[in-house]
Amino acid sequence: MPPPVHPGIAPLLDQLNRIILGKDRQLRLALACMLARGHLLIEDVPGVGKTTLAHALARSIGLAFQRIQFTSDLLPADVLGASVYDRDSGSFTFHRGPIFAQFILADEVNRATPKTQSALLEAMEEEQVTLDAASHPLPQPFFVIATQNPSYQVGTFALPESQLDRFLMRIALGYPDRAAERELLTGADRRAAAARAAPVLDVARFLALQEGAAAVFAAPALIDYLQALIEASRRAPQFTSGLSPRAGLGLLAAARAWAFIGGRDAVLPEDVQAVLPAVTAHRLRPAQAQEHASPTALVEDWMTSVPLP
Amino acid sequence: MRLPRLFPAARDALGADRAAQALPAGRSAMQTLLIAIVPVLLPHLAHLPGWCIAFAGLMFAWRAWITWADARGDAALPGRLLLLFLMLAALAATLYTHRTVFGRDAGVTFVTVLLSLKLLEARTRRDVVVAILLSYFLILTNFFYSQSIGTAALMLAALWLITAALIAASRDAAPMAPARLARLAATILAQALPMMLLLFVLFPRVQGPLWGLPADARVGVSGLSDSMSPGLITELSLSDGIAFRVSFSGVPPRGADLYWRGPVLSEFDGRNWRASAPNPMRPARFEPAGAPVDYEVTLEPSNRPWLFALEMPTRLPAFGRLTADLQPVTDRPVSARLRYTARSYPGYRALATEESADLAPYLALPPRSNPRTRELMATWQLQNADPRALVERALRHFRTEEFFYTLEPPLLDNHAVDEFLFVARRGFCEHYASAFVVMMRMARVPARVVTGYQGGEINPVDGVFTVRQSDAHAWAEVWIAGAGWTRVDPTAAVSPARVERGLSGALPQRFAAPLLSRLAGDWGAQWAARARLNWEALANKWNQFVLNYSPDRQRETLERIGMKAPTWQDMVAAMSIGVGLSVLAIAAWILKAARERDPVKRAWLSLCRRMARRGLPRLPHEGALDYAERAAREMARRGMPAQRAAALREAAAAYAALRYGRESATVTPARFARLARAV
Repeated sequence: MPPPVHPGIAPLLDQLNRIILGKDRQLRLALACMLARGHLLIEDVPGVGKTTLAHALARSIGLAFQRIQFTSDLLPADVLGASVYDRDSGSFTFHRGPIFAQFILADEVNRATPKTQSALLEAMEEEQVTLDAASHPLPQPFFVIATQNPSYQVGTFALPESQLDRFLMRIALGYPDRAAERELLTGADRRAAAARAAPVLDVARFLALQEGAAAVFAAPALIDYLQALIEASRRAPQFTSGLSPRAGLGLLAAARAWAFIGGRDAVLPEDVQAVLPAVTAHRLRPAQAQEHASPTALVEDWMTSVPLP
Repeated sequence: MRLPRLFPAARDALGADRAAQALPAGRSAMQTLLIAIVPVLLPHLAHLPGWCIAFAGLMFAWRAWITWADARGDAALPGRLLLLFLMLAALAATLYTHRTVFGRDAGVTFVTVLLSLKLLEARTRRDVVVAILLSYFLILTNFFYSQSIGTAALMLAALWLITAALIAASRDAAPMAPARLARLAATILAQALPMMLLLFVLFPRVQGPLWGLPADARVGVSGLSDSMSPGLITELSLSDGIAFRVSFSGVPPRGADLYWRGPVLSEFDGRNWRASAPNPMRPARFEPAGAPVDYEVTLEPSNRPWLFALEMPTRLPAFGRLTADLQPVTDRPVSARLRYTARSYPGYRALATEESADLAPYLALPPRSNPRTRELMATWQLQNADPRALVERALRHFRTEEFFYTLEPPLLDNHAVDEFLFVARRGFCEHYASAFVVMMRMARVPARVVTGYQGGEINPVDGVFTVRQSDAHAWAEVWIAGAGWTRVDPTAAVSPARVERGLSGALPQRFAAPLLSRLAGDWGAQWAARARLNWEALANKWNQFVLNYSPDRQRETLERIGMKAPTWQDMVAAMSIGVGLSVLAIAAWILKAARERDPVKRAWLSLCRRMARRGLPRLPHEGALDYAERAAREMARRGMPAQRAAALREAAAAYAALRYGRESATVTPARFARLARAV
């Protein structure tokens, strides 16, 4: 039995599922991240459909889409824009960079230098670009999907923890299963399908859905559970440090969005557990003895150690 | 609920880091402790030396000022040098006052002073805990002085407050609200109660005064003495102190028959009466007659080797006997409350078998004393020398002439009896008894003074007679040939009401009879009398069952609950087992209290337990819906009917909605309980 879906989201999810095969869970997580007004980091090996997913999402919601391909010689101005001297008017005018869009795909963000990375991430955080003492607000909604190759690949600058914290979720797509793989091999081109995808939502309806997600009820018993989880992360021996208050807020927002997608008006512990690895795995630094364990497995260990209050 | 951690201080104290020892809740602990010290030290005010009260009071006030009012907080505490100096001064003062630092009084003085100084150097948790333990010890010291219900109640309150202070001092987090602190302390004490009762009942007892203390525990007990001077009984009659309590096994005798026989005084020096040296060769002789009276006496400690019994006792406890003067005595001074049963014959007949040599001491008088009385008696003797007639005449004299029964007799000079009979004519029972015996001896009738108690007051609540020091009485006995020693009570001639109705009935209101005996006589204050009676009944129970829980009583109690001839080893074994069991019971209770209080959650957990017994346990972190899903799959795999999986799903959904959802009309706790039961 497939999990239930909120009627306002079902068409969107259906369309995405037709484009990205066999990844219902990842699609839901990505959607939950957008509904919770967070940014998404997709970390996986090249060629599993990261870019296709971003394309499909942007087009289906009808957001202005920009793709920035990060390379090692990309400069901050290439992302944010620059002040250019206008000979006619005799003054500097600001030329907006590619970041001024509603939906940014920051492809292979770990290929760029830290300087460029932080230019992007600061803009994400502040939702504006400040240059030469002038602020230029970014459009609303503003959503970044960054993709990165796993950091052990050659020629990359891994994002530091402080930057990772700015992404609400980090997900991996993973290889498709057998059936999906076969359909992929025999069927039409997925990128073309993504490019052809018709919008099933508009911006206003998307904003309304975001508001609906934020209004999902969190009972005191659920807050108890959330607190127990956060406190346990701070005591857990497998992590050097626990979850920050920002991470806690993010976790609640993501759980609300997950419950909303599932068509419920109250958050359940199951919702928290569903988004927990995606929201926390990139924020918790494993303790030295656990360095080689998979972060997801560590999060699983921690989660199962906290009983429901 | 969690058990509080009581001594994290022990761990902290080992660490060198002083900052780690500083109390987050230090101020609240100190405030609670300062309040707790008030009831601990209040009863001690009566016996602490004046300088100690002033010194400790000043120190406590100083500490209280620093705690409540000084913005600098603990930084305002005095330096070590000053404290050292104060400590040495206090030690010197203690030594000067008591000549020692050991023993009860000196010990209490010194510990009080030390506590007051300890508070002034209490900066760390460890110091506060030491001060708290000292306060616990001071609670104990109050029982060296008094073991009454009032003291026990006050000390219980003190125990409660100090425990609250200990909890406050043990907290690592922010201070607790006072009400919560008090509640937690009360809970802890209540949990200790079964253990306390077990230790009380089973701890092997030893005979003797409560703490086997040095001699200073036995001074200052008021009561009859082995001599009688004018004013002694008058003084006693102002005391509400209890001499003994009696419970009769049958109908109690009339008030006029209630003569509780004590010391018999026969040597007179013109002013004071003394008991003659006991002659162990002469046996006590009388003939029981009339109906016997059986009763049980609970004697308060008097530090005298005397028992009191109704005239005339035939059966005394093994440790008691009658002297030749028919006074019931025991071998050792009564230093602890003593219980015994006795049988008396109020209608006894004395035996007229005394040799005249044996009677000589009862005729002795100091020479050349009281000439006017001697003259009067000579005249009476000429008119009628028969002893009975003389007794009658003397009593008639007291009755018809202007004699008054008063608690305010004038002071008498050397010829006390002359003075009393011819001038003052006012006196209390000892004056009448003394004058009567002197008169009889002058007329060559052997006579002696008997002291003891007359009457007593029945408590209608429990039927127990209470005999107080104010019931102390003196009467006379004359030896009449053919009839033997005969009781004559001259006071009854002057004031029959004294014997019939007790002291308060015999005195006009303005006299300073003890407050309580006046209240008892006052019709308008009947409620007060009733309250007092109830209180005394309670106090008697307290004495019987708590304070007088002697080795005998312990054996009785244990045999009643089925331990045959218990040795102390048996008691210790039973005690260990009992304490162990009670700790387990309390632990179980605490764990049960930790059990869920929310009925919805309780029903859900019970459902989960039922499922676990069928091999489908819920994981501790597993949410209701996830669990129902997983369990349903597992049930399908085992081929169980689909309705049961559906019922579980429905119950799980209802639980999730109740616990995590908004309040709704469709899903109620009752509906969930139904669903949960249906699974």
